Amino acid sequence: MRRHRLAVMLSGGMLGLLAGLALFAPVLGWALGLDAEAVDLFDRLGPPSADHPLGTDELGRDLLMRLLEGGRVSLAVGLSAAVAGSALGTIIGLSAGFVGGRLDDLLMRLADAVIALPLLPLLIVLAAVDLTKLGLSQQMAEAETTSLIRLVLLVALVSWPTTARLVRAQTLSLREREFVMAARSLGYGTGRIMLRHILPNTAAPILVAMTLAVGNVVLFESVLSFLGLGVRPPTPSWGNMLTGAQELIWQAPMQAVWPGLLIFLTVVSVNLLGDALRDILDPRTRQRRR
Amino acid sequence: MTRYLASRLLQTLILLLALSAATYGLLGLMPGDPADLILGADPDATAADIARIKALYGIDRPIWERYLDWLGGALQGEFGYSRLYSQPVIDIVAQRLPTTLLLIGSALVIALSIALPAALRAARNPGGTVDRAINLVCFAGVSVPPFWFALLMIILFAVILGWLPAGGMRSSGGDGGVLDRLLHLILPVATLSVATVATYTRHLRSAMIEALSEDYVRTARAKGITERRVIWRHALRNALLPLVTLLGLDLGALVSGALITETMFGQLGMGKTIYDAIMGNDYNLALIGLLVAASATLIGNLLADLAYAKLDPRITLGREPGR
Repeated sequence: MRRHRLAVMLSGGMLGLLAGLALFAPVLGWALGLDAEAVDLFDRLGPPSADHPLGTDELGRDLLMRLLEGGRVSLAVGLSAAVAGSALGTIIGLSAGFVGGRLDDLLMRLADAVIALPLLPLLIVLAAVDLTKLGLSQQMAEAETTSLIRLVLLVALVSWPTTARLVRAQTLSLREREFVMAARSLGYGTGRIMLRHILPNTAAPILVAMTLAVGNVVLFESVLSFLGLGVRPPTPSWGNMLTGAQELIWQAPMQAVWPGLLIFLTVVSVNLLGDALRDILDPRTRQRRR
Repeated sequence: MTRYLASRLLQTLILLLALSAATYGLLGLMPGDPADLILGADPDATAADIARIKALYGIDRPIWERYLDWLGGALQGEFGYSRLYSQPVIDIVAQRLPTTLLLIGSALVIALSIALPAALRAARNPGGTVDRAINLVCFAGVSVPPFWFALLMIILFAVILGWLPAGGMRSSGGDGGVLDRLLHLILPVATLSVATVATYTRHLRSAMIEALSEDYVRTARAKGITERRVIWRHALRNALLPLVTLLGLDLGALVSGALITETMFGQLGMGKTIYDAIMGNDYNLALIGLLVAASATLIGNLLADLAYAKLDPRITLGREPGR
């Protein structure tokens, strides 16, 4: 148990630090006199200096501020997509487990298919869809928020199966328990039993699945943005800051290091936290690590 | 068994059909159809011009009609022409599929040859220093963004050390020999296998630890069989079983990984082809690329399930318990 506490403290501390830095980026920028948007074409790819602690990017913007701003976007997208995906997974898992039969079969086949298919190529197609052809106005389709919402939905669309399977398994065993039978014999409807009696008891696996999902989702977001299909410039995200880094790798290798390092630290911390939470909440799995 | 196989194949076919329809519909929603391109090139184009262009390319008809046309052609082996390369898309797939297969195949071989010894060593003394170290490395392996890992490798081996090429399939002006091709493969394969090595090691380690605590292992030890034989003949054979399923399930991730790897290192395989086709509005090529990738993954999955049943006599296919 001591090891878990250490893991939770370490990963939680790291996540808190990253989230805090991202959250207070504007304040920090103001205090340091730095601006993520300010372009200075005379100071491109500059080395670290007193003015720019981590140097400047290919347009002479301050790298540190871009990293912090990018963190805001990446973490916000990651967190919302993980929550959205888990919510979708919970609804699907609950219905599959509780209703059972044909619906269960269909939903679980769907989950299998989503897990088995090569997701990245399919996501790229979805990300490339022209929203004006779906009836959105030009202005709305090109708005920054629309592209962020689209990204969140896309990633949620492929990350639900893990939660759905866990929730379904839990629901299947809960369905046969006495308190559910008692609720049934009191004449409560399916909806009430599902929401009030089953759902609260699946909170632990949902929490674990959601934590672990954040890691995957941050990775997905960064890959899509890296390929130019996620968060679009000039809005910075850790993924899209790496897009141009490969061409500049001979002149400015550190440009390629920083954003990825932050993604890596985030994902490692989240995975560590998720694993520790799982072991704490469900001691039975402690030996059988999957 | 035959019935199971038939129903699985049928399911796979239905899924592919649904996928082709969905993808066809989505590609129709992408920017840059011929009419868009004409409009972009010539702002003076009249409504009549656009209608003519649309009729010429057949995009004035409803999308389901066009899909049925495509499907009819596809069933006769006619998948259309690529707009980017002006070639039948089938020819492009035939040229480029081997590169991807080579990448994925090498990555799988590398992954297994690292994961197997690492997992065996870790399972020998769970909780020990070596086990913890291996666990930590695996943790990093599943958490590292693959494209960032690729960038780091390029910085280390191409920029700083200058040992390996940063991309491409062969040196310009090189003799195109096997060695040259191999050198260009090292970084892509390393990138592609990172996550796989880590996943396999973790699974194999826990399967091995579980197998070593089973009664049959205790019996084998009690009979006085050497530890070596206990591990290789009794425990490992059982621990390898779940890996077969994982091998099948992981194929999708490998195909996704191949897309990133090929795009970054300029390897002309299916992944880069799909990416370029989607970005370049080459619908026919994108469609066939996606379908090839999806069918390969699904068939791999099916094969893994069949192999699992073959290897484990306790499993009978057809009735899945606990579903």
